Amino acid sequence: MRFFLFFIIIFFLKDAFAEFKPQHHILENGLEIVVLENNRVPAIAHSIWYKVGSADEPNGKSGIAHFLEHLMFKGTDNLKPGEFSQIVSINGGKENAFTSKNYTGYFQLIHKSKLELIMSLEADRMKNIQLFEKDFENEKAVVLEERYSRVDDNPSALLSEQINAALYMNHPYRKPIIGWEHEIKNLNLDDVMKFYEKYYAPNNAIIVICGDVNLDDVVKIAKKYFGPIKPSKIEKRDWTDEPTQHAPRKITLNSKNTAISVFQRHYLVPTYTKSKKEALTLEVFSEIFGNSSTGMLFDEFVKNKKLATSVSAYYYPDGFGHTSFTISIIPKKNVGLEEIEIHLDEYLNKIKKKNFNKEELQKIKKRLVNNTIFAQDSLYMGMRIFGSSLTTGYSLKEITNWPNDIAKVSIDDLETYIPNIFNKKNSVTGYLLPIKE
Amino acid sequence: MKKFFFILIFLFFNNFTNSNALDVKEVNYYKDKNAWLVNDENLPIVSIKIAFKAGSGIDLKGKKGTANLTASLLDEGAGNYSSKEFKKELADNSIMLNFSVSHDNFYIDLYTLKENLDLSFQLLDLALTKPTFKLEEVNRIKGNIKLILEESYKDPDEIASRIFREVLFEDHPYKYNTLGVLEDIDKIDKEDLVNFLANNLRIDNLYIAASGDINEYELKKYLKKYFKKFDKKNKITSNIPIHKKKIEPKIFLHKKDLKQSSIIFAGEGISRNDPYFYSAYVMNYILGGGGFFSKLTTEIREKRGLVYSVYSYLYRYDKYNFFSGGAETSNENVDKVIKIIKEEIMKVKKEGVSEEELKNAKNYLINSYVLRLDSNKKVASILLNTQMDGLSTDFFEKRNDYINSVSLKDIKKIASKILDENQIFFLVIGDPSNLKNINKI
Repeated sequence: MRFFLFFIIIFFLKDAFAEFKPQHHILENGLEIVVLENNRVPAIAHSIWYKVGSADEPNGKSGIAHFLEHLMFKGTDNLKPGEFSQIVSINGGKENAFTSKNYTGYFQLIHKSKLELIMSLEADRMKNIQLFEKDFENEKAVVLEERYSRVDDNPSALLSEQINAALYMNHPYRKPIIGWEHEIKNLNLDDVMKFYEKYYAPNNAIIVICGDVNLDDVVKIAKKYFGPIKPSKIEKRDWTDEPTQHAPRKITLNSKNTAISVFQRHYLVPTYTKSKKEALTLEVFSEIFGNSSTGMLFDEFVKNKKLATSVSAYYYPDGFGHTSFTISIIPKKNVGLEEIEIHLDEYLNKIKKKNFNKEELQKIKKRLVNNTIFAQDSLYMGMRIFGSSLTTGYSLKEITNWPNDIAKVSIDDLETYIPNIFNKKNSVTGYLLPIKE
Repeated sequence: MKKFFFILIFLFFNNFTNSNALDVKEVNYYKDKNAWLVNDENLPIVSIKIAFKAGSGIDLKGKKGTANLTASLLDEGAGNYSSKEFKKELADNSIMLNFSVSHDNFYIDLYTLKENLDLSFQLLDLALTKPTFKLEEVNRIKGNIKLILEESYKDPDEIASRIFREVLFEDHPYKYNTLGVLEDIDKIDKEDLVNFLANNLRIDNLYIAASGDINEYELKKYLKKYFKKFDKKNKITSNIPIHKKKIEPKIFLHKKDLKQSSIIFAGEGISRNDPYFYSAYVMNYILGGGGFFSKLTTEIREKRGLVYSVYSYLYRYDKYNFFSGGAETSNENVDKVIKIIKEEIMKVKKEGVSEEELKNAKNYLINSYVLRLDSNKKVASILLNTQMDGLSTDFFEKRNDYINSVSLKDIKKIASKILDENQIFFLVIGDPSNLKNINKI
């Protein structure tokens, strides 16, 4: 992310959108456009999503995708460094950008009358960025400071980074999005420009707009500014698969910067694109199992056994190949992480044979589906959910059908897929331990 | 191509969107008490934000943490519901109900589907009037709070904010974390929680705002039914004293083995009622509030690559106002960053800002206001805060004129009052090299 402007919820459930009525168009050069009309205020959340992220980076060059995101604000043939942001701001807009494993997104929240201005600016920087060595080195220092702030002095982020690199043994998801420090330091301008030229093209991008506009107007403007840009040859992603994992891994991070011990368990499980029915079932299950105040894990560890002060579990279905089903437990003051681990393993063994109650399942599914209504209560949220889903393998239809698909998840599905999750060979256990000073 | 952009920018430049068309209704629900409402039926949901003027600032000595502990326990069992049943009832009906405290206020945040409004208010009422405070839940929540308070001696950000409050507030109650004091948590008993509710949740210090699919009649009906009972006869009013602080321009250092140091600075602020409030607001935006191209960001990040983020802001407690800001930078750059922050502050003090900077700032602050109104949650928050600032509902029509009327002279005047390196202290957490004249803390 280029800047802290406000907090962004990182993990969205695909808490979908029966009520969202997306309109869709594809330009001749392959640029996709999705419009979600929302007329509450005369404003829009405008965004462009490139289907390229940290998992696309060449070996030894981690951090390029995120670094490039920063450099997209550093000037084009037509604009001086920083001028993009200045224009957006003078026109009353807020903007930011974000990089993930799968995509890089840029957005502006702005009055609807500025649509043409914003689209002209985004079209300009799709192909015309102009970078100088001096600005490049300067921004590299900024990116390194960002890494130190977010990761190096933050024990839980550091632990996640280590766990992630162990969970994926072969898939490019093992690299941190921001990049390894030594590789960021070695990046050069040429590396970044090659990456830009290869991946930033109309046929590798999606425009998502949520707000007070209609598709026809958007398409007209898009044709004018993006229409003349030629498509590039985008190679199909060919990411290496995970091999069979034969042994559970364990990572312990001792830190002087925390007073709280944390237990984590990550299981490698399929993404939505890999196994659809299974992914939908896991979304339902993570609510039953992992809700931090009503879930099974809470009942067991906090209420019944009184071992923990708080627990949660989540599953993030987006992406390609495998993803993580994650359990986090903060033990009570005098409970050790080993005790938590022993009890968790016993408990998960029992769950494999659990029978689920049909009525309870109905209620859980309703909770998930209701979230779709709340998701429409801001321009930003709709833009973000559609953009991230469309760039992680969901079709538009799959997004809008999500509530129906969730409603179809059955007791049978739960009993079929749950035993597959907790295979310890596919897991990483993480301990965060305070160092007593 | 360059020219084309130039023209385009100008075309779009000056069309101010002056109307912040918020149709705010005042709903009278009891004697002279009015709630503020924006009725918007686009979605079948309702956001209600409520505040009582009673926060952690009134916690008694030896019982610091009472207000927060009370708020944290209201949804842990009430009426005939156990903690688990209460939480489940909320979740199964998609009712988001949260209680929290700041130093000055006790907040209730209700976000719900229209179809569940009846149930939502019933559960809210139970939580406020019949919380069970069962020992098991009290001890569990106390355990969580103590854990977080321990973190304020280990986690770099938490250490920074703890020491910052200690320097700024000395012996004033604002010095304490809203969560309380570690040693006090176990001394708070059920009676303290019951008393906190009885004494401080009163209709005379109550503020209510709502936005969404609820009309005046419906809101009035609920508020009459559930909030009349907060008219209490035997009032025990607790007051937070005004904080007066002469800031010494020192650099405080708390040494910690970290890759980066975090820097916080603070000085005198400005009251909401001050005629120069908007001048200060615009000035701060130009200096360090304005995201990508404030003076601080331009000089420290964009030109020199010394930080990822640097910012300043104006903050208001009920009994103290201050101007503050911060940055994080590698240990070897701390002295440089502090030097530039001081220089930029002194430049604005001596020279003010340029005409172009002022025009750009106004354009942003006026044209972006509509972005704060795109969701029921945001609208309810703005209604609540505006009301608590003592403003009236016509504020939304006037707000852009207030911004627009700020002049270069106004900014210079307020800058000469607030901005001064001799009235600002710096606090550094980390292991900076080359930093001179420091006070270890």
